Amino acid sequence: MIRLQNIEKSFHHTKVLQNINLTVNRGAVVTILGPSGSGKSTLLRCINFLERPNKGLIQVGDLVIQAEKVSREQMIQVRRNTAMVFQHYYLFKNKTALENVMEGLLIVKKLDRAEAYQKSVHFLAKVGLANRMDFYPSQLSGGQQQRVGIARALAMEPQVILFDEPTSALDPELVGEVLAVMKSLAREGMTMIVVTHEMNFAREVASHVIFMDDGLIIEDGSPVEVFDQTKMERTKQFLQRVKRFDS
Amino acid sequence: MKPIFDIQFMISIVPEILKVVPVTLNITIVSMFFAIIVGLISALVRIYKIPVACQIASTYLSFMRGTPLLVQIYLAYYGIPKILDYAHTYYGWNIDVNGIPAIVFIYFAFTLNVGAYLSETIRAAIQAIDKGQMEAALSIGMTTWQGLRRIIFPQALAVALPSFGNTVISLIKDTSLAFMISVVEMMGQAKILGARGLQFFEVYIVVALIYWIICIIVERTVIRLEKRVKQFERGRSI
Repeated sequence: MIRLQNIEKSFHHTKVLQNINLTVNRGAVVTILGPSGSGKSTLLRCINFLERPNKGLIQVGDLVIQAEKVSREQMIQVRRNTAMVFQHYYLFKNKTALENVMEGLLIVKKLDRAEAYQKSVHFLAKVGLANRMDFYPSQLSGGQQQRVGIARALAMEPQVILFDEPTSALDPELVGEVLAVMKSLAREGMTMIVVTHEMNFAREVASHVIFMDDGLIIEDGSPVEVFDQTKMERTKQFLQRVKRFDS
Repeated sequence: MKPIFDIQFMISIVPEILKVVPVTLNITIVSMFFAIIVGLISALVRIYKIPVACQIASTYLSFMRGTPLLVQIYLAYYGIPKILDYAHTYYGWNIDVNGIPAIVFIYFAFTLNVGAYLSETIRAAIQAIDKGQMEAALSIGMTTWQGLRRIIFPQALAVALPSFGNTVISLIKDTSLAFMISVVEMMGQAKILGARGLQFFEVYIVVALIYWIICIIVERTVIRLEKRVKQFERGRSI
């Protein structure tokens, strides 16, 4: 279970997150929507301390951390229990697809080579890339790279995977293959927090939808509640505009 | 009329010069090794803006790049013994200053000098790597050092290698200054041989050719290495 309590974050003097409270149960798929600059990505990056919140409490499984006095060891502990999929994939460029997945298993989980290899092959097969194992990122399409990114995250067997706009940098015809992998993970009960602009994904797959604006969570509920019984005027505006672009 | 240069003589001194090529290479390799360590540390200290160490590194860099190498060699040669003498008198360190071979001062001066130039190269190369690479490493639970060692350094090496090659070549040529404090390397040997029969022109032609050949070999090696460390970029269109 993931729990955020009263998270606050500012860059210099600009508040980018205020009063964030969020609980994500095991197996839940939470999507975070909102205009750019609303703090969605920052929120996600606060969970694994790629950004350090100025205030608040973060719980990942049994780890409960007070953000003000987080230690280096605690940050590493949280990161060992979470994984992240990035907008620009961020595959290790000096490593093949296989080595990208193996890296964490060898270095962080300290598995022996044979075991790490087996696991990595398994997860690459799961995202449909068993035949691209020995390719370097520079030789893969965006969609393939992102699927390797997902395999790398899965291999760590995290309690939650954080997706930071996983399809935003992809060519339109490659979005589908990545979403398909994400949908199957959701079906298998993987806990996921997904920052996205894919409204259809949010509607179909999410168990919970959050709408953020100006560093605040201004609406949250089931997809039906947020999309069809929208309460806030700001959310309505946003959804209207996105819909117009979609059609 | 006498020919412009005496080929017979030139051929005869080649073995004499080749005899001291190992000294030149020795200075290059030892200094380069320690310079990489110095350069890496001072680069990291500046990238991570570690207080105090960062200021020290910046001052060191500025000094090394702002004073002539020859001056630095003299400073090491005359300064270090003085400091050691002082330590000997006041702290009772038992060091025989006269027993230190001159080449040690050369190692010292060249390490610090080349380290300063490498520091800039290394810093630029590390900063050229997308910061997402480190974020990805951290996100799977690696420590910063693991991320640097396994992900950032190999990629930065590919960026820095051409510039590394240039530094090595400069260093090889700069070793010719070592004779100023009586280390007999190629240049020193040349002066000795030249003085013997007052045939300086011939001697310096031979020395120039040998330097040239060594530098060509280094250049070729660096190009080959570059292909190897850039293996992961294959398939990229630019």
